[in-house]
Amino acid sequence: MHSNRNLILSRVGLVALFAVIFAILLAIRLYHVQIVDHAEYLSKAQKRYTAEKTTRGKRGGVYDCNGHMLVGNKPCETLIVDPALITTPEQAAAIADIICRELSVSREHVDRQINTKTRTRTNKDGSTRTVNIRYAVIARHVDTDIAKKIKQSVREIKPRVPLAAVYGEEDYLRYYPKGHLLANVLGFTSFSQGEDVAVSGVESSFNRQMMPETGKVRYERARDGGQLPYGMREITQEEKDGFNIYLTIDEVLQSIVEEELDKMMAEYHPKGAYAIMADPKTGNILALAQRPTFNPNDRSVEAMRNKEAWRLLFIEDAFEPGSIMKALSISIALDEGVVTPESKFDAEGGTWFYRGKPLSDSSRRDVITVATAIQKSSNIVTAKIGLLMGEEMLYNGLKKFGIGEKTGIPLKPESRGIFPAISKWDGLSITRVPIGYSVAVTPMQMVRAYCALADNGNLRKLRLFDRAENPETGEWIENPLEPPVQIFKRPTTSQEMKTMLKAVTKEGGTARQAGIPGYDVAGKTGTSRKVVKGRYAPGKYYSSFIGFVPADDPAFVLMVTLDEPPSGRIYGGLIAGPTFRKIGERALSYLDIKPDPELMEKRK
Amino acid sequence: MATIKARSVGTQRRRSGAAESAVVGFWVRLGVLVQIIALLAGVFCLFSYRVSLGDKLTQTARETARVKQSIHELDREIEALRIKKEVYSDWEYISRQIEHYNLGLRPAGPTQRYSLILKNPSPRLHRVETAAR
Repeated sequence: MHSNRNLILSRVGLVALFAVIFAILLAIRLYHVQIVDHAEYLSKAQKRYTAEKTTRGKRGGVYDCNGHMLVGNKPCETLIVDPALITTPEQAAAIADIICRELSVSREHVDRQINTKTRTRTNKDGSTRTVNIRYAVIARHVDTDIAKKIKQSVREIKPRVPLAAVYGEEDYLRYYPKGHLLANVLGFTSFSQGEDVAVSGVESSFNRQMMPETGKVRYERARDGGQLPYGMREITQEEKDGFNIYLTIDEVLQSIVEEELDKMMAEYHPKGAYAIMADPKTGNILALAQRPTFNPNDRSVEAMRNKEAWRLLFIEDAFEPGSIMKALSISIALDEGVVTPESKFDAEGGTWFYRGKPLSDSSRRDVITVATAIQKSSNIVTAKIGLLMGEEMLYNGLKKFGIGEKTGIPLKPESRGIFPAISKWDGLSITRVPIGYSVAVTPMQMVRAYCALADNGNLRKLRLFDRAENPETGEWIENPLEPPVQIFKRPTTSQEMKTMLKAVTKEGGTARQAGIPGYDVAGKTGTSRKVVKGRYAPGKYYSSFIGFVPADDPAFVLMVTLDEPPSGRIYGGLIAGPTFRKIGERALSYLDIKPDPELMEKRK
Repeated sequence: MATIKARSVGTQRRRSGAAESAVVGFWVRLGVLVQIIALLAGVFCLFSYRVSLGDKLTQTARETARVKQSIHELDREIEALRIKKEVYSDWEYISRQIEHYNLGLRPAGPTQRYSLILKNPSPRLHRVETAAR
């Protein structure tokens, strides 16, 4: 009896012991599952109901010097349908109706995307299989409001269509809020394989800095693969936005320049035109416009057909500058002490033969001073000064002005122009180069050289890029001003040159139309024949005016050039001068540079 | 007889001693069992607490993700509004509106312009100006 009881008790104890051991093992296992390996099991479970997708940060924007947006990213959506969830022809028709009502897409395209439910795929072994289509793009870059409206309308269809049948994926459209303003400089991007590909302009030159970095997002998905609208969304790899680029351009000045250029185009109908405004004290480009141009927001085949409009004519194309070169040539002669403003030369009555080739002035004159030669734009006197200087002095002097060199502007492709070495000069070059022939420059090179004239001989690199901003940290990366190179030996050269150039826009000068009431304008006109396929094209010219104002303390250098002005109005002073004046007046007013009361009084 | 009586008393005493020790043993075992159960309950509570903490963490992460998503959506809205603002501040647009509404505005003359110095410029403007310097 006793032994039986003990046996029972020992058995009970044994069972209890096993139960306790089992419970302890279970607890250990539970501890491992719930605590030690929690993360692993959670991720395993998540893998079954989550999916991962690659995301892309935003491409950096482009801003003017005051932070006004010139290029940005417009939030939009890519409209997707899941044909497998659209079960009845009535539903398909209703969805297509809604989409075609809101978007300008063809009904045929929408019907095809909605109703094509399967696709045949070829396996590696050559056999084929049919797969369901679960993702069909209806339209890209759909405005967010429109996409919202479409999705809302689809929800109201009876019989009900699943939410995931029509949905939008977040996207960004490269957008140029100012339309054609600065379009050539900003350039544009194309859209290829889900990302923006830089094509031209700033977009291309600063592509590396503006390019975003990709990230990864894990999200809870429904059984059909679609993202649950209120499900978990975890960023597993942070995407990074591209850097924002700030230019030296001032949007207001740019608008003024473009508006006046448009008026000039409408009045004279030249083939093309450009205007460049720069600050001579810093080398900052303040405005930069050209015609023809384009609107980068309009990517229709028709709008993008004119490839001339995309090109950066002011750095890609070199032209014989004509008389605007005289200011540079004569300043070299002044600086080297070859002539003074009062030196007298025989203008040969308007026609002079050198080496059997004639050189003419626009009017007959006999003996005139260097100052008058600049004011009246005498080819003969300037050519004679060139002969006095000699090839080497002239060549080296123009090289110091940056002729034949790149300007430092961060746009591509930039031409160096054509400035042949002395060994390649012919006998006439010494009389033609000083008057802007036998040499080709880009408008940007000319602006840089005049900036040096305006700033007492300080030659600077031109700046278009001011600074970059890291949007993640708010950190700024500055583009520091480089110290200028002094190109004049004599401190008086610049002032003497300014005095002579002021006379150009005054009574008796070739560009009275460029004069701005109340301000001293120093400048030079230029009219040169256009070379087409290696020959001077009859009746085709470049007409230019380049100057700075106020002459003694310049706020800006401005160059206005017309490519193929109308016959009868080919002279730079007549056709480019008035546009210079109009731009100048408005720009001075904006920059709050008050007119000189003395000059205002004189005018009265 | 007396011997038998004495034996039966001894047996009774032993029996009652054994019963007593069995009772004591029972209480001792019960005590141990209660302690084990209490221990297990404690461990169970600890597990449950840890599990519920994990669950709360997951819920918080989910809520964070939801808030982040809302912030992201707001950022997109702000960006869209900024683009609109830039479109409306374009001079070409403004001049079109001036013409459209026949406002007859003309540029101010040099003597009609005054510069205002802001005492408290917006932080963004200040930052841009500082950077420009």
